[in-house]
Amino acid sequence: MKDIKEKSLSLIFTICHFSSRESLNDGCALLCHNRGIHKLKKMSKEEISISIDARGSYCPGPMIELIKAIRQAEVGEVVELLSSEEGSLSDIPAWIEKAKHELVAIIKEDGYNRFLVRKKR
Amino acid sequence: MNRIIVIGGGFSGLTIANKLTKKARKYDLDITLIEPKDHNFYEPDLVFYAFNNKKMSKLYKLMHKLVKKKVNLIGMRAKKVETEKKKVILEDGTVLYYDYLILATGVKYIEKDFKYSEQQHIHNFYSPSATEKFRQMIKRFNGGTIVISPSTVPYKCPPDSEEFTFILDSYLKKRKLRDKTTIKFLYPLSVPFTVKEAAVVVAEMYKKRGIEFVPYCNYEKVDIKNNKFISFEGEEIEYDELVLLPIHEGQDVIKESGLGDKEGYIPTDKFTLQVKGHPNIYAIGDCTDLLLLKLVLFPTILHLQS
Repeated sequence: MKDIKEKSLSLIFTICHFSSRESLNDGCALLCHNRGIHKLKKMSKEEISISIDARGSYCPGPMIELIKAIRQAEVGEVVELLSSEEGSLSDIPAWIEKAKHELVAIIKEDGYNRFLVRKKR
Repeated sequence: MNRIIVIGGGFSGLTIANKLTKKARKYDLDITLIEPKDHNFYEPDLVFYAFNNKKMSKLYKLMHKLVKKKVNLIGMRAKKVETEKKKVILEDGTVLYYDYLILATGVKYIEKDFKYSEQQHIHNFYSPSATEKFRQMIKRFNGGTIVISPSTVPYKCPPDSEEFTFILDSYLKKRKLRDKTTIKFLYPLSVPFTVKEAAVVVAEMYKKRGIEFVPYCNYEKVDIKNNKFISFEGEEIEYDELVLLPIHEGQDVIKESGLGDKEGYIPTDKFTLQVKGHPNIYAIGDCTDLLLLKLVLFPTILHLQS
């Protein structure tokens, strides 16, 4: 359990790191520490086109909901997914990588995670 | 008198209509079942019939023989439900009023980009005609690449594509064609089944039998000219024969009545089967938005619903 938590935290940090780098390239500075997360939370809410609340859904529910939403979204739009399912932390980044979209961030909230995904193609 | 209307005479609708007759006298029930087809077809056996020579007529049963006498059977299609007026409008304009409504409308299959019957190398086993077409193909098959994909989740029978793949593997071994055949199993998720514990076993069995597993492969389209399956994730997979399960959607009556979500599935309480926002309407079976839950808890959910 502790191991999973550590992996999750590490993953969140890594994703924020990459997200910050990409954002910096776009000229939009997001820093990867508390202030950065705060900014990310605030900014992302304005950018989100589709939001899905899959909290309480069993695996693979959140994953399927995300695929459906990405199908509906336009290229460049951000989809927000709320998931309390632990498997999402590994499944969703792996799917995004294969499908060549962008994982903007995974934000740890109280009892669930917020995934922000930009449709890239 | 309490008027109960059941729409849909598949397994769920039939079971509930017949079971309610036991309570008809006690609760003064008048039960009506609306089902346009004059027969019930046992679809779960098609996965086996794809590989045998049995007559499919065995899978048909006449509706009037399955429905109890206390049930008023109406052989017409329900066109629309008006929930405020508590009425069901049939295809010929007849109006039926209810006190309680039970929706058991199942799903329909969409032929989005092509008609299965017109494509020589694309198959499924979800209807008698499609199964017959597959039968004819597999008898003539002499080796090549067979690709199997359930298109995307959710779909009505979670284990059937895996079951089909294993039967195909055994069938080809018996015909001594397995060495000449590549079997590829494409799945929308990271593992080859929805329940992770079972998925581990399926993955091991696939490996042992030389069945290639391709994860995260959701159907997008087929390049019919070049025999290629193209996934939503951007992958292109070549085939000689493609077994592609049709995409599912809710029935027109549900969409027409504003009772479903975008795909026509009915938002249903998973404990009571009550349709959300409609205290006197219940939904059962594949028409509910619990189809996803069924993927995970199958077959428990079916048992509980019954």
